[in-house]
Amino acid sequence: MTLSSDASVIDVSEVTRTFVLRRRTGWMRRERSDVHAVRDLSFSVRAGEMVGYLGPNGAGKSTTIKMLVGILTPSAGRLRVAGLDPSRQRLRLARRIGVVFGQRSALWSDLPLRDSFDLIQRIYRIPPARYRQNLDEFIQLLDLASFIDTPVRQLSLGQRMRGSVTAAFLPEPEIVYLDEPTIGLDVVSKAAVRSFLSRTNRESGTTILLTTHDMTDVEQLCRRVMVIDHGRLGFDGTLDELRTRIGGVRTLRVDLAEPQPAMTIEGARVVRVDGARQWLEFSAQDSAAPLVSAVAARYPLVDLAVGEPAIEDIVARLYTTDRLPAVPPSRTDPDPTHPPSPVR
Amino acid sequence: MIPDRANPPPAQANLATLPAPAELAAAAAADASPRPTRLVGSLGRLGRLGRAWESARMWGAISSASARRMLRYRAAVLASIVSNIVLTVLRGHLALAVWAQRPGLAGYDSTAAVTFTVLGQSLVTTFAVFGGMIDIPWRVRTGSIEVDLVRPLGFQRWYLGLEVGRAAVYLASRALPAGIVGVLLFDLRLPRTAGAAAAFAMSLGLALLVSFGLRYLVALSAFWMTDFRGVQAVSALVMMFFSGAILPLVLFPGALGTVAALLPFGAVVQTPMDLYLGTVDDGPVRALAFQATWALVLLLAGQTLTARAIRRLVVQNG
Ligand SMILES: Nc1ncnc2c1ncn2[C@@H]1O[C@H](COP(=O)(O)OP(=O)(O)OP(=O)(O)O)[C@@H](O)[C@H]1O
Ligand SMILES: [Mg+2]
Repeated sequence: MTLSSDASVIDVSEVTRTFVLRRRTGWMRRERSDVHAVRDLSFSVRAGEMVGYLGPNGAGKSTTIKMLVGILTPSAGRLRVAGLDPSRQRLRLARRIGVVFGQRSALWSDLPLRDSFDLIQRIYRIPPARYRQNLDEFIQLLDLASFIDTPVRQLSLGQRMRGSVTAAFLPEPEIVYLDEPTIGLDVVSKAAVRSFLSRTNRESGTTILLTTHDMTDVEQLCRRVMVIDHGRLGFDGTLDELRTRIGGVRTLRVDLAEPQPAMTIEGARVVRVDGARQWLEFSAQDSAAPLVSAVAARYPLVDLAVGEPAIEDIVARLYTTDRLPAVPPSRTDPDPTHPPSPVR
Repeated sequence: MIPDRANPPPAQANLATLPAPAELAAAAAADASPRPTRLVGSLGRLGRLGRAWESARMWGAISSASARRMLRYRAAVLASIVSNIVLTVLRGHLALAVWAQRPGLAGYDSTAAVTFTVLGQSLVTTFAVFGGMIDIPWRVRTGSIEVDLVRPLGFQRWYLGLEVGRAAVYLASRALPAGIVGVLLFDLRLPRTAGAAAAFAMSLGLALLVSFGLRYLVALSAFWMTDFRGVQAVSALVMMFFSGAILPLVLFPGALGTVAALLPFGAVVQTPMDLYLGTVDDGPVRALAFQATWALVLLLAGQTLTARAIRRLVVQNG
């Protein structure tokens, strides 16, 4: 065993999950159909990582999380979380992880929010001093003070989500899964949740896996991104790698000393001219440096700015491209005996 | 103050300067190593006694939360107090009228008859002989059951913990007011000896376990059935009829009486009542043993069925 594989807390290898649907098609006649929610999924996550798990609706994100917490068994393949087999050792694992299921709350809806936290202290046997310290910190970071004594039933979606996040993190779990933690939240709530997550990840070393449809979450939080579609892992790497891999274009905005006709530059294309300002598009794979020097050599350059391709556009392209890009050799799984899953 | 609001991190600039995940993970691992403070590890320090105490406090907290949850509905609690008092008065007078016509009916004198009526009503509400009161079917249908499965506590125990809280609320808001009014208004019989009172008190705890055991099994069937209401209705009828709340089991004729005396339902109402009135034939120990046996059998059956229900959910999911 290498050091790196020792440090991984989540190990998923060639995991498949098939749902069998039985549909009544007539009197006494039933039709059986298989839904492949997850196919041949392999990845591993190291302690302290924060991973964004992306994919369109029905891609298999929630199914993956349910398998990781042990409330769904894989149909095939092998799963290890913190050295445990989740579905067989569900209760033991439960002490060490936290989960937030986007729409489902673990909070007591009829009781004040605080009561749910107090109960968590008892269940996880959090020492009183530690509990008070954690809770005070969470109240401040997630801005809970104004509604902590309100019954959960009366909380807004965003307030409830912040409560759920607190509940998941209070026992200081090693790993936390968040299934769409920012769904339906306003800008302020989203910002609070994001900064809380990034701080906890940074300061407590908590491993976090989160699914989201919000690309800002990913941009602000996740160094590593996994993209799943139709149950298959289509990409696993950094956001920059994703940008490069999927291609797309970057834009260079240049301000010239005086208005000029559209420039002609090798490897770039002018898409807009507005007075002395021009916009050029170039391939996201290319470096901006030679382009900039080419422009500077031939035109009176005053100012410039490079625009990255929007991550939304990239992921949308990833979902819609029939030919998914090859999975890069995973940085976190150096074991060559477990090659990344084949490409569709 | 939310830090992000004042100073949002520059989204894209951030990414360019971020180290690769491998380095970060290594850094995080290095950071994490001198942190012996993870709570999971800190449990070992407690002695066995300390752990038992912590455990008792936890279950107390769970039952208390369950009770407080019901008490939030003030109007409903108030209505239940009033309606149970009214019902007690009506049923008490009805019993008196019947026994005035037919003295010695069922071997009871009129005092015993009123006692049977009022006590029966209290037991039926406290132990939810009318069925249900366990949330499982709803949670299975809505998928909230998943939340129960990520809790580091046994499934059946959790629901028993909630049930204790519920029973406490029902005892306080239904049984006690009705009982007090019964004592004030009618010539209710009290347990004859301290021993009978003690046996009665013990039988209440066992009755709760039996009642929970029965209703829990019924509730678990929701894992296998899409429409749970039929099972619920039938089971409630059976439980009510064979508990001895409607008619004392001794009045059941012949074979029906023999069977009824062996079924667990009697352990919920009939047995505590017999112990209270001192009408047990073979002494209180046997009656308590009867309850305890059924409690054990039902809870073990519940445990086995829970494992199968969860396996079914986890393997098939639907
Ligand atoms: N219990 C189930 N029975 C049958 N099919 C299921 C079940 N749960 C999920 N599926 C199917 O598995 C696939 C993956 O679903 P999953 O919930 O994992 O998607 P997701 O990536 O979380 O999507 P979303 O972004 O909409 O939350 C879907 O086709 C879904 O219909
Ligand atoms: Mg989902």
